[in-house]
Amino acid sequence: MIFAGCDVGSLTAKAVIMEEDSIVSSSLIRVRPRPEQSAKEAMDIALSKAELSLEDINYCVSTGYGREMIPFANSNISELSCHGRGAHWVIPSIRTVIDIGGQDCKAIRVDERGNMLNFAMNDKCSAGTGRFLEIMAKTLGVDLDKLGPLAVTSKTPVDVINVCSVFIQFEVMCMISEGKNRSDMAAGIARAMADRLNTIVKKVGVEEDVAVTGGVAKNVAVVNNLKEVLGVEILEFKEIDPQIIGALGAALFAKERS
Amino acid sequence: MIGMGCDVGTSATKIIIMKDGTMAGYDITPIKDRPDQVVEKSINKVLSKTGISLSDIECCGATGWGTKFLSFDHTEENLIKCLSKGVHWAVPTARTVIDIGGLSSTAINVNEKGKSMEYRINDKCASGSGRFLEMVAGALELKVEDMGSLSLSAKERVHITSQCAVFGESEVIAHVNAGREVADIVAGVTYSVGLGLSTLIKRLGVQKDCVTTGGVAKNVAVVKALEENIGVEVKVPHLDPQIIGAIGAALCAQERLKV
Amino acid sequence: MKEGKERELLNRWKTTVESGKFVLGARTQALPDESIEILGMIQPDLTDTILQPKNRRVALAQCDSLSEYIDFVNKKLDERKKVAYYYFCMSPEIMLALDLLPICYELLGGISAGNYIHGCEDGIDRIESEGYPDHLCATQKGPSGYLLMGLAPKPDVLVKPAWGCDPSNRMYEWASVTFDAPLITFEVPYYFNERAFRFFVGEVKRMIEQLEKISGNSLDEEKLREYVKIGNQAMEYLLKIQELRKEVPCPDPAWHRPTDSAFSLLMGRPEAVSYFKTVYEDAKKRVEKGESIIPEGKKEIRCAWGYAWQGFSLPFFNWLEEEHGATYLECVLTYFPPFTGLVDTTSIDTMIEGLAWRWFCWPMSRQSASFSDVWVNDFVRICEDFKADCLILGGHKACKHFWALNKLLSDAVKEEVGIPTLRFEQDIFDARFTPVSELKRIMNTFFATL
Repeated sequence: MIFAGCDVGSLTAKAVIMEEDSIVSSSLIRVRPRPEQSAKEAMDIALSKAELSLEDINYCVSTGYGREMIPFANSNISELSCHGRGAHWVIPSIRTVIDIGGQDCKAIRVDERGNMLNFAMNDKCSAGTGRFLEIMAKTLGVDLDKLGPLAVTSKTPVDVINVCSVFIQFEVMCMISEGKNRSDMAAGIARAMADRLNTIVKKVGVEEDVAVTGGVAKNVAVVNNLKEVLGVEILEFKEIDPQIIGALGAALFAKERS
Repeated sequence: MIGMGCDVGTSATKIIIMKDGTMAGYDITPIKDRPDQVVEKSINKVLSKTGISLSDIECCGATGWGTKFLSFDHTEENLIKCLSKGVHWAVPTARTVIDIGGLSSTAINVNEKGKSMEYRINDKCASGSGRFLEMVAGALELKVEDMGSLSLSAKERVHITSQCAVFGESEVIAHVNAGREVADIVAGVTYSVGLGLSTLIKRLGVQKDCVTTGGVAKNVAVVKALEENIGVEVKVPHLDPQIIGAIGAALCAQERLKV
Repeated sequence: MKEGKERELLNRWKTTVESGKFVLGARTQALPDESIEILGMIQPDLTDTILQPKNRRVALAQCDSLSEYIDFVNKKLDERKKVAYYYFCMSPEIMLALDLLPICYELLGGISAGNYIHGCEDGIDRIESEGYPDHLCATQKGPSGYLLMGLAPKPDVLVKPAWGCDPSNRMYEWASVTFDAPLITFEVPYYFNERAFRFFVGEVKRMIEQLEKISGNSLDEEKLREYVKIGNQAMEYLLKIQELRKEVPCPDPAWHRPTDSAFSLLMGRPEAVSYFKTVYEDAKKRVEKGESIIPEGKKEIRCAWGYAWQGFSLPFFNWLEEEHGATYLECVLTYFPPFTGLVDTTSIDTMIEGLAWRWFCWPMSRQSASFSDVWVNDFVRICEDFKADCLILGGHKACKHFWALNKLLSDAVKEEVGIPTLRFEQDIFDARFTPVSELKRIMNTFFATL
């Protein structure tokens, strides 16, 4: 039996196709202006990778920001549950998931079966979300995926004082004009990001094992700082892209519901 | 007495020269990068406009975050005190001042002597700041100066839900993609800025006359939205509202000399 | 003495105050090896503050007093006395007379907040991860977390006057359920008048009946008189010091405000007397000699704090004096109106009524009673009597009571006294909400506008 999960976020859309207990294919794209367009494109790519067609899918669950607008989904589930379930399936010892999305960040506590126990979310303020890092990368004049590697080379991270993305952007602009080292600024930004995330994580408390999902999980500097700030180890998803965890969770729910 | 006042803000640098109690001349220059160079250029512009030379300046008061870029002798003046004094000089009946700057906004209650009795600052969050308007202007490829009048021509104001300036910018782009009229979108943005500011002021308590200062005070739509939400007429000083802080800085510096 | 984790907080504090004594040159014995870890926890600028000549005598009195109180608590724990936790708006004479071991619930967090770099953050985080939101009062959160972590003795009974503060009322309920300890709540009337007070006395008597059952002792007049007399001594000094703060310049250092609140909660114990006596003597001497607590050349800025000291940085108050010449005249958390007076020790009835009256007038309780007029009028009067130059309202983020009337208060003072006001938010036990660096920034800006 074949199941699918589709996660339409604010910046990226992801699809995962599973056959019984294995992942057959997945996709990750930048969103289109409308959620149903993003979902279709993501799903088409995953289907073509798996050499399948939409009719082959027994059940599909959608999640994420645009989840209610996906015509080919049989049902939709909140991304909180999907991230929790998906992360737990990959690493069953996980009890806390920190999902850092494009325009929000969440801390999710799960039980030993991957069911959500508690959560805290920020979707009002851009500091602590993927957008913040996008803005900072642009300000520093580097590609987003180079921000992490740039930061880890720093020995003396700058101290970021502000908490608002726009204010921090201004702070960084001033530092640039003062001739501060780019990797030091990138490191300071990573620390600021971890501090902002901590205010959300604290609300649910940390229980090990902990994992990070979403695109920002690939920023090694942010993850290192998060480890320091929270005082715990953070497990990596070795073979699976942390950005597709939500879609994976949706696919798992699809299996359950079929 | 010839005094200089400098207000080096996050969006622009404002320099004024006062001579014997009246305004001799001023300059406003936006800061994009290299604030140190902008400050120097701006000062030179004022000096040449007024025909006064640096050696004639008896005192200089400076305020704002960027005072460190001034290369000559000056006194550091507290921005709230500068705004209070500056508004009192420009509009002696003022009892509430609302300064809307590049990144931060301040609301002040002053007494009949121009002394600050209480104030509230928003310098943590860029929602409702001049920078937010600049971001939207950039996204819509407009000039910031045109946003006010464009708002007034709107047919149906778009409702902007985000508090955050960054998310607000994304929301604006989404509305453009959905085919909404630019004027309607801009009207929604200026309204949300005015609405956000009104919260700051209401927490302080409005007393008439209410006067607004800062670059954003030149946006007629924001001022209108502010008025609507606080229920009190909001006056904009006749001279450029953006230079009020700098005037106050000059007055503070002059006061020190008298002591 | 050091048995079990439940003595952990007590042990930490004991080591802390003993090292304070060491630093002040009052202890010659070497500190035990375990001290190293504790020493690393103490705020470095706290050491600087207590070493300042103007602060040394009182700092030593605090260390001595707290050390003795900890010894007393340990002794009573060894004797297996029942532990009675009480709210920070009453004094423990009755509980002492009933041979209970009284510990103020909020001090479990407060003492840690005032001494350590990370305050009582671990306690706060622990209870918050149980689902308690960050906007509930940290004065109960720190202690509740510590009790959950088993770092303080378990309650055998909890005593809570139900003043209009829902967060604290609910947290005491939580503690009662979690630790299976009876909760004695006494009803507090809405108004602040004679009829209300009569009702309150009745409630205090009901509390005594319940405590007698739990302790297995009846309230003995002689025993009570012994404790009340000691309590009166501390109260007498406190009221005199309050009067002295009306002098210009103010002779009583600002950092005493939080510790005044702490030691008044020990009224009935000799430790409170020695603390207040030292504070009084220092202040009196300064007035007699014309000495000032602010640096020479600085103009005194006399501040009335309508809300409130924060407990996580005592050095911050010292900084106010040293940096700005700002003195701290009075605080809603320390102000006893002069008519509070002393307890009449004639009979058991006069003593019960006298204690009830003191608790009725207790800082914060009194201001939370009735309409806003009590708080507002108190502070208009304080600003006038103490000749304040400004009113500072550092509202505790969890205190809805304060925030509901904050503007009434600042407007009234502006209109009737004509002085500027500062309003800002902070958490009185959690430094992370408005850190010291931010507090300093706020003060720097405000004082520059005066």
